Amino acid sequence: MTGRATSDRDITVVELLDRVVDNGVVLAGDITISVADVDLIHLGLRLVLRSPVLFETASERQPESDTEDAHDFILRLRDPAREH
Amino acid sequence: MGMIDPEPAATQEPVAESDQDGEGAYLYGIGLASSVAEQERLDAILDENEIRTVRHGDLVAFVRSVPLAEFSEQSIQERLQDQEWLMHAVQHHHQVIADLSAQLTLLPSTFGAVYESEDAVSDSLEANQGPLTDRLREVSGCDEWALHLFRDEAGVRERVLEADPELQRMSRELESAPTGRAYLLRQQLEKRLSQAIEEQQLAVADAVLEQVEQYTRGIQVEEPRTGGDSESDDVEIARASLLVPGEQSESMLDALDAAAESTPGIRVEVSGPWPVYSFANTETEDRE
Repeated sequence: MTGRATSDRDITVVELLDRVVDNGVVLAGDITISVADVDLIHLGLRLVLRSPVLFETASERQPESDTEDAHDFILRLRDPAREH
Repeated sequence: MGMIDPEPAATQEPVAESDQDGEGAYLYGIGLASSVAEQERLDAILDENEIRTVRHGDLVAFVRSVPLAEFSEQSIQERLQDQEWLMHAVQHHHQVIADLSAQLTLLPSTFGAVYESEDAVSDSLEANQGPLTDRLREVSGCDEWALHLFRDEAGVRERVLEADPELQRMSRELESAPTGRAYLLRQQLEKRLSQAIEEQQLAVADAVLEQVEQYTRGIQVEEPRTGGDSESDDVEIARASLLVPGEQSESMLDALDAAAESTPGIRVEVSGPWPVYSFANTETEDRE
């Protein structure tokens, strides 16, 4: 094993985006463009990844909202293997 | 029926549902109603996030009413420029799904899927009851784990060279060869070496997956990402999503640790437990 070059958080955000954008159940009758234009959304989200600061400020600016919780959840997900 | 139409307004009605000013149903996921752990906690999640349920038999869809105008193509195009909004929306989507997944067996919906109405969701549940129920049973009690294998770039050539007698022979020949021949030999050597590295990494990935397979109910192998976001020099050689029963996750993680330790030059990264995003898709059909 070698050291980790990217931070745990970056890895998990990438992981999250890979999961929620590319995957998940799709029912017939979806009327949004999210299916047809999945690459477009993915591209937009990939841009977010290049600005890690945005990710931080989004939760800091709205401390009482669910953003904070969501943020915490993602941090909790960090490398759970290490906890065992 | 008399001569006069009793409901003249009815002919002007069908504006409501497909109209851009109307409300649509944002789908978070589809669960098995009979698998709810604690109804009170589930209700609290629903209240907190203004989520409504659409039932069909044992299937329950979790939806939130959203203005259709916000999800029109034009709005989405605009929203994509607003990275903060997008990230927040993704996080919220995930948070709701993670909370729901803690309370019942759930197939998470893809991000940003909006349906014309709750009736449209209900129709789709009815039309796909069989495959949805089957898939829900398959993922029941399982979490998803994301697995990445990286090759430690430093020293990879030396390791492969050492393990391959033919490559060693070529390497020795190269050292004593005259310039012109050395050039050709070097090309041959490089070609064989990169082939050998590729073969070796496939074998390594197979071996690691083989060691964890017994603890999984499903493995989805994905394309490794080349280049991209990582600042690391390490090359991702394999990625997979694992569907793991809750009681097997410890053993699975132990097996990964063991695999990483017994394979020099390999770094294993694993994250989870995730909702079962990668195992949620079924072949669904239109009602027609």
